[in-house]
Amino acid sequence: MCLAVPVRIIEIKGQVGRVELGGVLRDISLALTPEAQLGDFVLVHTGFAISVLDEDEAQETLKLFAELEESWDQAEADASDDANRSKGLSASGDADASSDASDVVGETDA
Amino acid sequence: MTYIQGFRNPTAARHLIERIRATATAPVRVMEFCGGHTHAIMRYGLREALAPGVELLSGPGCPVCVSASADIDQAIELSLRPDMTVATFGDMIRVPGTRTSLQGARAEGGDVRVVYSALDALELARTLPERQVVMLGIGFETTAPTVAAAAAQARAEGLPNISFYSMHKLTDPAMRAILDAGEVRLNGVLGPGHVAAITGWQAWEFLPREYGVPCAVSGFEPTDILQALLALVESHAERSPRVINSYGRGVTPGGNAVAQGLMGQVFQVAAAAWRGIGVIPASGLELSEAFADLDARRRFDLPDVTEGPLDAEAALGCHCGEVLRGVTLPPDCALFGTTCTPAHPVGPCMVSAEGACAAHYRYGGETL
Repeated sequence: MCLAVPVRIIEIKGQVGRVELGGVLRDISLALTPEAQLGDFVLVHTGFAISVLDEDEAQETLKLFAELEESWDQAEADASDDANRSKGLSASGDADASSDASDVVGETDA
Repeated sequence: MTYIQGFRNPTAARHLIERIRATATAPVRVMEFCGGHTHAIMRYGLREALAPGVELLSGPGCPVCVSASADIDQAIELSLRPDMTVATFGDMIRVPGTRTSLQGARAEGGDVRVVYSALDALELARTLPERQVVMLGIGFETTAPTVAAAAAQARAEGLPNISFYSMHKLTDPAMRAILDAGEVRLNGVLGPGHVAAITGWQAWEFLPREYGVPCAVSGFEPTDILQALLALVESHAERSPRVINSYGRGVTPGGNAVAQGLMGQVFQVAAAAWRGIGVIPASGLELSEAFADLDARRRFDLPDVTEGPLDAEAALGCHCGEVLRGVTLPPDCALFGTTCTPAHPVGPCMVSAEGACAAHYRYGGETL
């Protein structure tokens, strides 16, 4: 019920924004987000934009995921090296990754 | 910029799961308040992936599931009156009242229309000037401002034949009611991201402050949820309960001030009947005095549902109430997957796709 989807505003006429939703052009109300600009991404819920998405915050989170991916690849490589060396499994690298992850979660706070 | 695929990154998800498993050395019990989260958690298999370190319980955040049957009965009765049209969001149409559903009422000749937006109900009123259109206001703080905006526009246009039947509910009184009842002990709450887009994440500070329970406000993609759960298990492990905003791209500290202002003009806080929970004081929204003329309850002189019987399905053995309070898991109900299925739901938790029972039935594999 509280489903809301991110869409980009491609046209604005007064309080009405045009967006593409699942391949269909649709008009949504901008009555709750008067600050929305052309090109902004907004969360749309029941035909209304309810929030203008913060691109910097989104990029920050995606950056975290990219870092996770890198550290995962590294951990996999380490684990496979370890396995080759001693036939034992190791979860090495986890401790480093944990402090990275909690830092970034902290950054999205506030 | 992708706002969807980037947040479904499987490698990041796997890594977050490992991190959560490593941090949650003793079981951490988390309630996901929102039905949208329940659906996503089951769909992506997160519940199984995180067990037994994280125990996920569904909460009352499915507006359709917590709508009192007495309210649905009144909507059905309105739809069967001559010259009357009831407009509703689609989620509500199959939810059973005492005798039937709005869909059943339509089969009996009732005029029930499904709308995508509350503004569509205004358009119905414009095109059907000879009929009275009643828009059912369903949903939490996410949806209430959209209905408020439609009511404000109806007022501005002077539309004479539209009114609003508010079943809107507020999230924090329900969360408090569950914690105050003491039936379930929680180590964390996954906060509803789209409610918080309106209220702001600071609205959830009562959880750590008054109950010592951390809350992580979360988006709805799998990595959003995992990131929030990681923050919760870390907060629990550090014994430093706080609110963490894990949905920074959509949620600000104070929320949407325009939406809050509009809600405050059109609605006022009132007692509300929650299916499966009971009447909770100051937990719902009714039309304010300034908008009394657009209040369907007053226009058609409808009785107050907070004084009547609430749940018809409990007598049939349905445990939806316990599921909504996090006391019972769907597969533990004797009706689950036997007499109660999405095609033939007994209680509301099996009707809505966001209902915990429907999500378990569809994705949980418990019926196989």
